[in-house]
Amino acid sequence: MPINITWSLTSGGGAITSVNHAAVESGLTTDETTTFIRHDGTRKITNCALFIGPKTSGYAGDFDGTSDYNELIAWGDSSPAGDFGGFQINMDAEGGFSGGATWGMSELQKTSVDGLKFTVRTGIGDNISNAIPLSEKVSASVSITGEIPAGVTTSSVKTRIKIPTNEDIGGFREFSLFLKYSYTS
Amino acid sequence: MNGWTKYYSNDTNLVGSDLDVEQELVSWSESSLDNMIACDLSHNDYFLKINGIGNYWQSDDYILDLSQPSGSPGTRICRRLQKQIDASEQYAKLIQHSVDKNFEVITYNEEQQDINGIVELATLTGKWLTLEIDLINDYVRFSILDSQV
Repeated sequence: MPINITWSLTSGGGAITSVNHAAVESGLTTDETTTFIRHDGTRKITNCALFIGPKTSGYAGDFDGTSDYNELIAWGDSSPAGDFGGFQINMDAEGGFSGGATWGMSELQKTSVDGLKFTVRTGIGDNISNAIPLSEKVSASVSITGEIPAGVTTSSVKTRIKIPTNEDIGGFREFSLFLKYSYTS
Repeated sequence: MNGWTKYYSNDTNLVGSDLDVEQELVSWSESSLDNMIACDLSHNDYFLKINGIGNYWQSDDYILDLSQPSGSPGTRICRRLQKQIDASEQYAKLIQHSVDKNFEVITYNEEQQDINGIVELATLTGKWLTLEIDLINDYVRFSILDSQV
């Protein structure tokens, strides 16, 4: 049967339908939010991967979903330090989401050397074809990349948004975060 | 009827309609996977079939937006049928039948006279013949993958 996926802020916690990274000044990084992903299937789900897209319904930001999405990708693509930023995902739950303040990323190193932290950008997490596989480090109960075993509630990622120093247009932005997965009945 | 049908070497078959699967009356992985000789997968006007003795697997891909309410099963974006290549299978061919969305993979253990569209399997034993319906882009994809999905 089709299974149900639940996103939550704690292991086994109540379902969420949004994550608010809160307001922050240009040049800074937003609050980090830990998001747990679980399912109610009787078998594992596989090929789990994350990607983002424009928010197409219920948009409540200050601009529009497509503009916000394009801007976020452009921030991730930028190489000048003052223009670099974007949506960042840390999959090192087992390691305590290590990497220090930068998570080991910069305008010159947009995916950390350990391969567990990502700046979403063109070709990396920007659409379904480029979805970022869930690391086996998202939980001690996960041993294979992309898998969430049945009954495991501890798979989690940490996310945040780095605002470029040169960004001078204030306002609320919104985008969609998707999970892609495979399941066998 | 959307769903799969397993065909066994003793001339029996097992039907797993989407409705029965949803109601947990039947399950792909919990029903017998032994002695299969073929399997088909239907989805609306698509019909896929793979023939040959061996191991089969069926899975679907989904996407889910975080903003969707809890309890949502996500959106199915791909349906997949796979068969592991047996050492006895030397060639495979994808046939599109007269009905546009009717596709069949047939395997052979002997060289074929008509080599048009033939895939040689000699070095691919253990890999997986894979037929997928891409529900987003509305087409069928035939590939050989290293593992079952």
